[in-house]
Amino acid sequence: MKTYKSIILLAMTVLLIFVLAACQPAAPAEEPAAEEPAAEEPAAEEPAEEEPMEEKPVYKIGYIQTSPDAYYQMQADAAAMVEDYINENEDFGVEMTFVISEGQPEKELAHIEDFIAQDFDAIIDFTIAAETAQRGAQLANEAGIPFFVVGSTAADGPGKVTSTVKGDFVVMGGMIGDYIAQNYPDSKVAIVEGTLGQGIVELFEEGFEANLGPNNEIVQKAPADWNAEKAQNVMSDWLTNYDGEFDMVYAMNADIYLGVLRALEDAGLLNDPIKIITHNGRPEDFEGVMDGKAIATNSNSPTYESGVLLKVVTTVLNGGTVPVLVITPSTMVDVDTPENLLGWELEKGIKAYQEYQVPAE
Amino acid sequence: MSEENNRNDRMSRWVNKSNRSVYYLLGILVIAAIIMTFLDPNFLTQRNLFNVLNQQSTLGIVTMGVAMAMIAGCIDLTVGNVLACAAGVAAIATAKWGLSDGLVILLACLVGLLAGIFNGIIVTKTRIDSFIATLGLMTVYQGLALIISDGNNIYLQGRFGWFGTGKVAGIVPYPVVYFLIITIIVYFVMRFAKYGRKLYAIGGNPEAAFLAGINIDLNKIFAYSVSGLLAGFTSLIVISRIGQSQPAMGVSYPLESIAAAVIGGVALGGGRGTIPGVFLGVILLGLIRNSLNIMRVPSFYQYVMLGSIIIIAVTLSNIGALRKSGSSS
Repeated sequence: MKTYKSIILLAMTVLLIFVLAACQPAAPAEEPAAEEPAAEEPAAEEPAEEEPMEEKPVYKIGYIQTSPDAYYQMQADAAAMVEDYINENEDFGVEMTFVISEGQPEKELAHIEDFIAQDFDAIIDFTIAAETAQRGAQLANEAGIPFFVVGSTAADGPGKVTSTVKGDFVVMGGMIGDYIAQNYPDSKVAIVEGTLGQGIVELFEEGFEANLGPNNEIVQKAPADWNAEKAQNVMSDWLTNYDGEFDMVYAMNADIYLGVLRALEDAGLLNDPIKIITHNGRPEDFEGVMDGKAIATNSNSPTYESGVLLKVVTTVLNGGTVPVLVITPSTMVDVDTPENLLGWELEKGIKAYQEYQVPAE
Repeated sequence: MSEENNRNDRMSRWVNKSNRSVYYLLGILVIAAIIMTFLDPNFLTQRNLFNVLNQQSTLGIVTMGVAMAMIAGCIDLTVGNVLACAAGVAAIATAKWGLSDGLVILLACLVGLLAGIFNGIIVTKTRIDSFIATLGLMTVYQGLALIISDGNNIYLQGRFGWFGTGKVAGIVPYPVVYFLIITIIVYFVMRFAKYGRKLYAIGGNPEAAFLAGINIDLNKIFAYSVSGLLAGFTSLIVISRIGQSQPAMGVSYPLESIAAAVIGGVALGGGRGTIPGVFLGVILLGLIRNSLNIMRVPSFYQYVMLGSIIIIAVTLSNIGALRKSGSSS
């Protein structure tokens, strides 16, 4: 028995050491040394491969993502690629720390406080709750650290957000409403929403309702927290006593679209008569549009947004000024306009960083 | 020889079977702190240390109540959802009814206390295993939290911020002060008061406690009441810090508080554990998280590491009990 317990303890220690070793952060300064054979630049540059990296200012940036769900993860992964690009090509470096708030405002605030305590140079927050971002902004202001919000909004208050980089959610919701008004003027709509209180759903609906046609009607709505399983449950419950109350479902993101789709296919009601319109322009919902399972999607690109975001953040860190609000593009895509798709490829982040010009204020 | 005996006696008063795990835990904490100080100079700053204490204060207060129930041989899984219920009531009282801060505090504590009493009555009178009973009750409170808030977040409109964000002398956050005061009170109750002795007796040997004339049901109800009360009190700190209540808040508290208590030496079966150990268990959990962030360990790996470290810390801090069970087998 004693030996057994010792073996367990030893195994746990080995596992711990293994995981520690496996997850050492990448050291960007070591990579450029491998590029020597292809160099055509003057020889004086070769021995100094590591020195410019050491002389460059390196900014510590804390990035809080809401959860590992696709939208947030793609955005974080694209930001990591942009980080590598910056370290290889710019005369400054960035060292990004990615943390997850697990959709909990307390954890989000704790991460912000940690970054402040560790003297980070900038904080990026994809907030789960607008009030928490406002509180975070206040703390960051007190510490003199620039505070950025991406993909969502901070609530109004004394805390000043250096810049918010996001899509115009009112316009995006309005595009969906307008598409329905133009193409399905008599539709009755049920909305399967994202997470309430984050500062996205409410703005989507503001634009959506304002742009619906006079004969369109919203008959019911329920939150599904951007989650496919929850969306499927909501939809299945609605279909239990379905009696033609609605013929259109506004699914607020690709995961919700997938959940709604499954429920409608199980019930045999997809496009007969219930149609789906959605957001994101992820491969899943884009294929759905092309296959006729969804009528249209409002495409935006979290990966492109990452590139814009880091351009904005590094501009501030290098002493420049940026707009308080930076809007990233979105477009409507249906079966006739696939070329409008903005795409979620990770490389779009680097492209956006290269191309985006911060407007002079 | 007699001098040596005297020395050994004095030592045994300080280090004995019941608090050996506390010293192991303290050792782990000190070693971890030394390592982290070498890895990052920002670790041992006043700001970072108070940060960790501040963030762990809510978990710490809840864990004190959970630990008392565990020492009495019970489990309380409802703390997170009771917190959410109390938070919803407090937020409505603040933002919609416009009650004074004092009344809001009383109301939230009352909600927690009533929930705790209800939990105690259900567990003791139905004779259902406390794990199962509180698992079911957890869902009840989850529903109540949604009903109270109508499924929505309730914003405090800038009110009540002082409770969870104020600082004593501009340095020590109020939540840390609450945590320390509550820890001291619970320590004295469990260490010196008759009630504490009774909880240990009930958890250690319920039959003997019954034969000794201890009212087991009443004392267990008291333990659950304290757990609920502390969850209600903690809800005030949380809503004050984040400026709102959410019906889904508090989900991680039950398991984290049990983990912290077990790391601190509280036995899942009851009858064993010390409040200093629980305090150190809470701090160790916070230290681990803080350290992993400082070391830039990717978030996905943090889950694996945190779980592994919890198991190792529990094993090391319970070495005394392991040796005893090993020799008897």
